[in-house]
Amino acid sequence: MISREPEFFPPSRNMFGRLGRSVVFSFRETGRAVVLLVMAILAMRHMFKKRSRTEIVVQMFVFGIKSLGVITVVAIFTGMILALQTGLALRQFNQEVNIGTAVMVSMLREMGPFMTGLILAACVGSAIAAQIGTMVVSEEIAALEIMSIDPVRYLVMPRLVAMLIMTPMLAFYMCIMGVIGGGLVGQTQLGVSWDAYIDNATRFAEVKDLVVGMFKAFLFGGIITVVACHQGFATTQGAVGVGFATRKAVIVSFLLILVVGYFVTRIFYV
Amino acid sequence: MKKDWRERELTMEVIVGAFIVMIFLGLGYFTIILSKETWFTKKTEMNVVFGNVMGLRDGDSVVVRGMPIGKVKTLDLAVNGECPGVHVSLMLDEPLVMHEGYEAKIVSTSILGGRQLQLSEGPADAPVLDLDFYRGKDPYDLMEDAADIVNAARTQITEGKIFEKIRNVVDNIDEVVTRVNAGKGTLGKILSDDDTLYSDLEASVASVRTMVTRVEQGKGSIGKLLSEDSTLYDDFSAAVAALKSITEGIENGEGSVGKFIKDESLYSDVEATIGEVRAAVDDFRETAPITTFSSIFFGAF
Repeated sequence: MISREPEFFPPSRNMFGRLGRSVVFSFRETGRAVVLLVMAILAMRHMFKKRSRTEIVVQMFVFGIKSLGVITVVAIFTGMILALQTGLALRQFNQEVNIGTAVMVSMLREMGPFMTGLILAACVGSAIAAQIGTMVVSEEIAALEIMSIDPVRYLVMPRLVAMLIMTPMLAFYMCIMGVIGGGLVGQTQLGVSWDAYIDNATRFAEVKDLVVGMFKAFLFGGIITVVACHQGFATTQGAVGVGFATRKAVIVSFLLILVVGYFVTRIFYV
Repeated sequence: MKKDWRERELTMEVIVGAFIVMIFLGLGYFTIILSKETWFTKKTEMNVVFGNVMGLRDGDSVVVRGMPIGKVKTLDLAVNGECPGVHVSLMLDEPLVMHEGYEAKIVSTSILGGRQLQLSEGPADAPVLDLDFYRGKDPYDLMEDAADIVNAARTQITEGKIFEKIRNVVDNIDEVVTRVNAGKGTLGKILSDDDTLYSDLEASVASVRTMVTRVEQGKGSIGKLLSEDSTLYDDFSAAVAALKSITEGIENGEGSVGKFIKDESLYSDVEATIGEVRAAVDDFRETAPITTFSSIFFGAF
């Protein structure tokens, strides 16, 4: 059951009571989010059915293609900033030709997946949370359950699959755009030829960088969707609750992206 | 209405599909480029055994004459067996013929780190080798060399009495400076308040200057010789010309001296004449007392 009955808890009398309650609630919310993830994964067995397939493609279009504009701009300027900063530092040693390596490795390992995760958390995660939150407060979710339509299969699974597919792809797209942006700065500002830049960029980057970066983006996609859907389903208190759920979804997604990003780097590179 | 929705759905599917295909193509291309694999060329494997690989890693470049021709595939530590050491398996893009006198060594690619394996095939006229394992030279560790130099310097400083020697040199310099300050020695006398030597030196320099001035003014023999007035030079030149003319005459056998030197018959005649004169003088010397006595004796009568 996704729909929640209204709950009432008497106010705590002291600080320890409030603290204990918030700890217990946060554990409960984490548990619910994990249960939601498991239910969505189980519902993936229906993903190749006609209705689900169509919904997944629609969500991929909304999450991926419609985010391309903002991702392109962010990626190009991220690459340009990286190239300019490292290029100016390396110029002191006449090593500005090595900006290709710096930009490529940074984008593949960290900046590509990380920036994509942040953009999708802000654009897509907030939209998912707001949409599901609105459906919850207008009792559309309850109506679906009454009609024996599983909200997880109908709402969560297509979004999760779409995000799991599109986030690594957008991260790769962001890496390519970032490298192109770095090359533009290298050619126009630092006097590094395009050929030397690309040669340097591909010489030191490894397949492992690409694979780990895409794996990170895959995890970020899952995190954003599950957090947004969970916050949406947990919405209470009408329109105010929708805004609260949206804000919380974005904040939690940001924090989890940072923490999970660190641990993935720690696991694969240390 | 339903048709519109179907069209929109189809458009979305096409766009998403095209994007995914494009990204997959890019991923594939990137994977090939980043793996630095040349999948369509035949590979050759070679094994080299090193005593120490100094941090060589799989994937490091193999270089022949400065050109990368492959990379390190695996590294295995063999403690026992017929060939103990680190067995380095190389994957080369093209076959390499090794000759006697070959070299395989690990070098640093930069001062910041990074290694590569350098191969040298050996002299072309040397016999060809076809071995299961080639022997590599132990790497040249720049940091180890630097540490050795520092240790050697430290040993020299602490045990080689460098400080004592430096102190002796400083003492000697101090002594020289003291002597100079005291006005002892030539340098001290020049630099001392007593300016006798300085005055002598100054007078000598003044004399030399005077002499040079006289020469410049064309005074004296050297001055006349070097002056613009060429009378002395012309006389000297004429004398040299005359001497040259005489020498040439002698050389050509002209004149008495020339004939004497060049004409061998004259020389023989003169030699014979001298011989005869010498004989005549000897005869006269032998007969002179008798002649003198006869003259005196008969003169009395």
